[in-house]
Amino acid sequence: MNEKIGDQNVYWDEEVLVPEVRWYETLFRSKVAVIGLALVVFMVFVAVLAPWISTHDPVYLDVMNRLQGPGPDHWFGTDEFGRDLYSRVIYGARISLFVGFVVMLITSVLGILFGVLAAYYRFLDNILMRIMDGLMALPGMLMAIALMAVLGPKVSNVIITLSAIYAPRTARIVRSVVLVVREMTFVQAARALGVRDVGIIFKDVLPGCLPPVIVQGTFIFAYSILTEAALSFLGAGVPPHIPSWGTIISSGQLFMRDVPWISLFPGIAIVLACLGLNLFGDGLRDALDPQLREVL
Amino acid sequence: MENSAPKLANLNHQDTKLVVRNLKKYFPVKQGLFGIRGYVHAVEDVSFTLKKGETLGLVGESGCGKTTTGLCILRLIEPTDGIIIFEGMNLLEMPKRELRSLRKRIQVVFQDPYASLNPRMSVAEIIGRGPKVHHLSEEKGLKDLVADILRKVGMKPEHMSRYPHQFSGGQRQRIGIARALVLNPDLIIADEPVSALDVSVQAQVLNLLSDLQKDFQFSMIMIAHDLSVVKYISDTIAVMYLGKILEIAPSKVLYEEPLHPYTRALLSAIPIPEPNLASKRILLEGDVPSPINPPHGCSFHSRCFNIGKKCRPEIPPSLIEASPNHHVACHLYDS
Repeated sequence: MNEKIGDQNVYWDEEVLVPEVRWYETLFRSKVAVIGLALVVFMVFVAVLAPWISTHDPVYLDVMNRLQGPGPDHWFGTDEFGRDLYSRVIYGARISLFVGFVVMLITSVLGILFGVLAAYYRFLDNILMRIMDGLMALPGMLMAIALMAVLGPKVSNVIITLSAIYAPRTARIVRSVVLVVREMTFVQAARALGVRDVGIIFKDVLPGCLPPVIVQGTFIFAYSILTEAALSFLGAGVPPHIPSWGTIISSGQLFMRDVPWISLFPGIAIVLACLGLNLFGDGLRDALDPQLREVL
Repeated sequence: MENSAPKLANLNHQDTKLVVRNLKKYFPVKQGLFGIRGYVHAVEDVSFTLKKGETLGLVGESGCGKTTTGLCILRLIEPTDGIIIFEGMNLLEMPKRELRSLRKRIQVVFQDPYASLNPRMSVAEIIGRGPKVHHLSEEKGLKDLVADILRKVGMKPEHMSRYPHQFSGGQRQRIGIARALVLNPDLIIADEPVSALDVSVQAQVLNLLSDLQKDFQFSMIMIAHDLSVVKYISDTIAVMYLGKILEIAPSKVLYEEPLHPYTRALLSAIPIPEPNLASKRILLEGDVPSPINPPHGCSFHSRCFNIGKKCRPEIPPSLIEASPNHHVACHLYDS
């Protein structure tokens, strides 16, 4: 019954194929990703080395020299109380970057956890997703103010609040990706091999979720720096004497027309930090995808 | 191959690998929030027996339930009703833990080689996953195992660190076959393994499967929508239509004397490589009826070109043995 139909055991000439490339090689070969990483590393260094590279005490009030422009004495000028802006921006990096990074981590972890649970175990879906819908239905700022009013103005509370606002967004995205991936044939193949649910989630489902989570994470980093600023502006965030990029921008808003540099310098800092993380995130996402790896 | 009513004595016969009896799978069709509009009768009372080392070809057009039958045997889909007995063990009553360890003995090759391999795993990870899960090999020996099986399916062992997108469709299907074969299974369910491939590559992969079957001595269920594909590789062929088996017979018999009108129509559609021979192609009229609301009685009567005096379309014909080992579900052959 078994007739020969064609040629058997054919070896292909495949030397044209590109040799394998490790993901970090691709990452560091990409100029954009390296620039992004350099920016992020630079920002982190500035934050860590703040006591050594600042020129003044960031909370020292020098009312005689208020609202001065950038000059040799005060590199970025002074604010409405005469505090040195250069030192404040440098110290502000500590709070802003810390809040941004921690919120990004917490929302990614919680988002992946809830998203995967909801999509993979359908009986949890309605429960978890209705809670997420409830959280997303409230305007973010309103909920943040309410939460901060209950918890009190502390940095840790800002992180809790921002995580509660942004985690549902990541969870929604992860859920939608998992819903697609779990129906793919290679997941069925893994089940047919006898792989446990945990193995399938970690080896098949999660790697597929990473690209959108990385992109969303860089967004959340930027958002949380800005929302922290807005909260501080409303007096519901970080206590006003502690410098953060947000508190400096919001205090400068009042004098924007006459002394624009108060908001300008922390604004530039936020742009650079977000840009750096976005570029690095994009590079990382591409490097983790075997199909894009060799193209880049 | 037998297809009479279930005789329990038969189910445990030594030569028997797999017995499927009265398998049913209905998918609910949902409407609105809570309402169920009806059921898709994907598999309707399918029974067959597969002997050790033999191959059963399961053919039928798209949507006739052949893939669902395969997935039910693998328990990737839970059947609505029926009995599936693999080497004397009832798969449907098996607890999850035992089923997981049994999975290494029943493997599957999927239709689409582009979707069935995880794009983020290297070939070594894909093939080595099964042995790893079932602790069949030490971490060290895993590489040799993978290299060995790659050679057996006609690929270079050096390719094991590559990723699926670097291969062609035929090569990917070989990787899929290697993934199943590395566990040394007793039964392979090949779900249209060549329908996504070029015709020239189809032949290579089919030959590979039949050669490997001689080597590894596994039984196989070959699902296809193309009779010419299963012809060479199957010992027995079952023709499915709307979830039911209409005719089941040894391969040679089925090709030489097809009984059911539907089988005859299918066979007439195979192109003959002889331009001077006028093909007497039987054209079926109309579309396949919806499996949500299948025709009552004989499921084929709405498209049959050969309704005779004996036909009573309102009564479903039962699968009867028209000649030894040749079963057909058609009123024309009622005694």
